[in-house]
Amino acid sequence: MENIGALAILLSFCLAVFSAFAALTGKYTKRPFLVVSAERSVYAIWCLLTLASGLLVNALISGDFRLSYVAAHSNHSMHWIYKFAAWWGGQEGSLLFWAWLLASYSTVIVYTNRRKFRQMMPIVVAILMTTLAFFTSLITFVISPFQVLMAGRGIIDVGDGQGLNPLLQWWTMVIHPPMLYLGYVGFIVPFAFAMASLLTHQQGDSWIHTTRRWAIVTWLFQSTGVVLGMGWAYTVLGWGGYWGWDPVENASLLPWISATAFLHSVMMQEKKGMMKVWNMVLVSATFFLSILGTTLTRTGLVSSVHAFAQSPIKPYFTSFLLGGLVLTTYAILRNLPYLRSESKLESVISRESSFLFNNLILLAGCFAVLWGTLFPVVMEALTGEKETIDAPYYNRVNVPIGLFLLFLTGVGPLIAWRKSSFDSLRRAFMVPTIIGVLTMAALAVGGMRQMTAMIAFGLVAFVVATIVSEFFKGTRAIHHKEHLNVLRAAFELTWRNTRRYGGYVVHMGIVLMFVGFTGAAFNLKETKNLGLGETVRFGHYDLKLLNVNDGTNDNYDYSKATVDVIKDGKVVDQLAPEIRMYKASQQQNSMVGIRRRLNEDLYVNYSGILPDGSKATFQFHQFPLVSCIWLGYWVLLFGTLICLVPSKVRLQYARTEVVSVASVPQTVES
Amino acid sequence: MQAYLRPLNRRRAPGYLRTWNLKLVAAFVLSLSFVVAQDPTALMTPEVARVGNRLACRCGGCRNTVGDCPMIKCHSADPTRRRIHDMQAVGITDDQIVQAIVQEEGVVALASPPATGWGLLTWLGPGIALLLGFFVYTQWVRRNRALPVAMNAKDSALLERFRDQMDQELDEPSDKTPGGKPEKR
Repeated sequence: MENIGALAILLSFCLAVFSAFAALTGKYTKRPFLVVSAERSVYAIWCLLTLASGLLVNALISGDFRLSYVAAHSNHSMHWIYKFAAWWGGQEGSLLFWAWLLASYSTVIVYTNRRKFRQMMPIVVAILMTTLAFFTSLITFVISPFQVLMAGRGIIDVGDGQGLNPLLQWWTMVIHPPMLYLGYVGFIVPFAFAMASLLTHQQGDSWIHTTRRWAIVTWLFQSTGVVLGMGWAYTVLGWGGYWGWDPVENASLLPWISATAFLHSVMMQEKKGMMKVWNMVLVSATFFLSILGTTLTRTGLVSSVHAFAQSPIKPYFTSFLLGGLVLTTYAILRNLPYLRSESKLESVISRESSFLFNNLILLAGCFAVLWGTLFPVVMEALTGEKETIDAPYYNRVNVPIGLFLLFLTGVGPLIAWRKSSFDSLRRAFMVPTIIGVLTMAALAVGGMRQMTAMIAFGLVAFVVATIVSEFFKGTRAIHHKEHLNVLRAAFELTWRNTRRYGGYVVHMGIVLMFVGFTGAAFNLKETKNLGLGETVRFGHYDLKLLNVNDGTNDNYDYSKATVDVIKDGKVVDQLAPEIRMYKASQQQNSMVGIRRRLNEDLYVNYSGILPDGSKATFQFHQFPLVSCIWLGYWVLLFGTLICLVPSKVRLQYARTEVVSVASVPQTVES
Repeated sequence: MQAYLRPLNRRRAPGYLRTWNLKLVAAFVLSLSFVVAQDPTALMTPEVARVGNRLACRCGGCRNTVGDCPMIKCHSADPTRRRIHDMQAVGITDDQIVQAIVQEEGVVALASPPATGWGLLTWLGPGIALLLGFFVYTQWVRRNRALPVAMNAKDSALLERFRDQMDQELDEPSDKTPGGKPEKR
């Protein structure tokens, strides 16, 4: 079986190389059969990689411990779902998974565009297949998932494996990596179309119309992956936090930020024919940041709880990244004349200008995270001195940037396209500003003294007011004009321009997340030793240790504590945090107990028993408003789905072109 | 922050540092008596956390500071907490504790880089990037700004009338507002 799997990967590598060459040769020598052959190779590659993946998954589930990958990431006692998740739980398998996802995306792209974009498709196929050839080359020649365990010249079967990393044996880990990968891999499609459009000098913005939905779906996958990762860190790592500014967490955030910037600025190109170079840079940056994210996770370039150990693939990834960057930069610079703006900016106080400013701040945040992630590596290479950049740096740099972005989230939608007068700005901003200021004043009067939190809540109120006022104005206009009830009018309003109003819903989700992040300013933490039957006061709760039970199953030994949560003299909940010791890997893992409420979470981490056996040690955390983060994600998901629904009304946008130079006294525009 | 990097005893130290070195020795001796007996949770005090928040937990897994690393038996944070606790017990100030640890372990012990030397670049990098971005933004606006278009008074009045009408429709909608149904797909 392992031979068939390895052969399938080798063949897919050969076909990917062939496909890339055939597509380019076919295009530039005008031999359509070569282009068709290249496209059909994509289907064959998908079949081969599906076969290889199926064989690996079968080996993981059936327990073929002759394979080193299976022996390292699976064992008999694991639940089958984790055996399946072991496909992407290790280095080799995850690269195979990456390649399979890319092949699947490529197949969808080739099939759905088999009669469209005939000029661009060969280049699209060449870019997709070059990337696929790179990934399949790694799992063919460097780290094969079908490597067998050898003793001398004989293949050995170790009987049972190490099992999946205990930290990964959690339900969100079954979904989180695929979501993140769907995001990472998916960004290659807009990139491939953008490059194809550039290299074939396409008139118009067809690549944007083709890939807009794709970019949104990919962004949604990435958002889901990031939030699932946050949820995993919160519930599994026992740190009592959802974001630790770990390099691998940062790596997932970077392409998300640049993709967010792209999704905003792409509207400028669609509606006004502006910022073409900028969009090309953003879509390329998103793709390369995805590759960088994969590099950070796979190669052990930076130390992280998530990263795989040092591996031989680092130089290959670095070369691919640098080579791709050089070629892309060259392609953009060489084709700059084809990226001229079709229209001009009429006023600095306009939606266009605010989009650019929003992009600037988003990219500043992206750069700050990238800088903090890579600076220690660069410094060590240059000076030989190690440096640590942890949460204090990121919080100090990114909190002001985040607050400013929150402010822009409220400002942007209220500024009109083309030009806004000061009078209309005053009208649009007066109520939201008053609401924001009043919120801050009320919090100050209520005793809040954390300035950053106060500003954040004020901005949250401001943004919510702007979003609500946008819905309110439009709904009221339709309600009066078409005599629809308010709910129907709101529905009609949203359907007429799903992108705009879906976007507002997404903004609302982000605002909710900011509420959750701001809640961290009021976190409580305490470490206590408790004897059986002993009660401790924590926040507004009394926590009583009822018992501690030890037990075992096939996969792990555990020690589980039962804690009564008492509020105002009544038992309101019972939490059961536990510690697990996984038998195969001899790794320990905590399962925290969480009482989730909308206003706060009570989080109990059981750390163990004191050496004398007299007491158990617990860490108690109170996380105000943390549920808003998860709630915000669902709102974001809902908003993104609205954006994907086609609008009822086809909107057309006027483009401003320079027709003459002012020279007459009646000039009114300035 | 540069003080962290200053060698303590290369030459004869000033008076206050000599006193401080004695305190360090006392802290070390005192800590030996605690090594076995002390309950690790006793080290998780706000005082220890105050200093610990300036130092990185270097367990290789988490990215927390010594002050907020939640692992009670962490092989990196726990000994550092103990050192901080012991130094505090003999009256060494927060800055001196941090300085002593940095002198021994290097700047890698700090949770965020010092605002001196290369470390300064870490802090300035995002700001410089933002300024550069702002410069690009202003240049883009300058280059892409439409030259003023001549309009006669009649066009201007018409434009203002439409803007007023739009504002009126949105702010005070009524059944009489003009305008047909939107074009459907």
